[in-house]
Amino acid sequence: MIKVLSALLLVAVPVLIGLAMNYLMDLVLGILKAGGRRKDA
Amino acid sequence: MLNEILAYVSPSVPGYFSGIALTAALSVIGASVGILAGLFGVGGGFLLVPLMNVLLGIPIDLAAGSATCYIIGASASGIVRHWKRRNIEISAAVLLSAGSIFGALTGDFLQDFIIHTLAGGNREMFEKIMQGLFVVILFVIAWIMYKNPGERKGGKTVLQKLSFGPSVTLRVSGQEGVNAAGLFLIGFSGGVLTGLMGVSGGVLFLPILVLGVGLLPHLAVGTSLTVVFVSSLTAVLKKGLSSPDKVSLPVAVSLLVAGTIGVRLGMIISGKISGSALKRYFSIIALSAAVMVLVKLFF
Repeated sequence: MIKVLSALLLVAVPVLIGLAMNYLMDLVLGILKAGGRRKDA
Repeated sequence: MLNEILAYVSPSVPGYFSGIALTAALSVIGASVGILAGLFGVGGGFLLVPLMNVLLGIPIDLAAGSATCYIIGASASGIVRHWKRRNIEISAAVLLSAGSIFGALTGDFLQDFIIHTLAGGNREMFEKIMQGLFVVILFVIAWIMYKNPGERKGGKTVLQKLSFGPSVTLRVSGQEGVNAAGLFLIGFSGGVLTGLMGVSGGVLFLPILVLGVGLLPHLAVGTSLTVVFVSSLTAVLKKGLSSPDKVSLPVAVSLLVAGTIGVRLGMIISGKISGSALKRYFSIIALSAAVMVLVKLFF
């Protein structure tokens, strides 16, 4: 049981972190781009 | 029970560093490989394992397992992007993934075979064998990046010329009569690399998918990511179920967090530096990594 749950954790955590980091980077880069455009205007 | 699960996914990591120093070192490696990956448009997994093994002293099987765990997260975010843009050739992805599942399981069995039978349980011998395999792979990658194979020029692909067994139609790429067994075998070979060495093999398989299978380049990237995701998922499940010493979740998470930031930085830099010759410079990096492993192998 512990082995199965551990194996599932080993695949679920990287998927969640990968997706979350991707979303976060999109958000940060979006904010930086919007800030840059506002400065230009 | 939670404590037992956390202990299982966080085995002790032998090597030159521990604690915060190890996390910091892994983050530096993850970010550096991420920048290179974003800059040159490659996965970069084949650099992670040698760097963790040579620079941090992490046993090569634990480094390979943790790098495979990292690849799951790195490919997951890529798949979402490509899925939204319909950049995945479904029929090819299904056959390649089916092959990669068997390949990943075979790769992990092969790793156990090398440790217990070929090296007779001798860890030092096992490390040497694996390092030798990495030298070969890194030289092949350096050569492929140097040659920088271009786009397909038309005519029948290798898999269309194979006349035995069933064939499939790749609708989006417009290729008919593509050998199904050939696709399965390509997936199988990629899976073996993932299960055995913890590398996705994307650099090796992109030219095969474009030139050998006939996929359009943007479809080859999305399809390859799907296959890499399936094979790394299978390999980590197999490793996780067989032994607690093969994958370290904290190592994978440290690499993933820093690596994702690095990839984005690399992509921003690559947008400012143009030129297809850029990829050739990557062959120098792969070559340097090969020399680094070679030095570790003999000294």
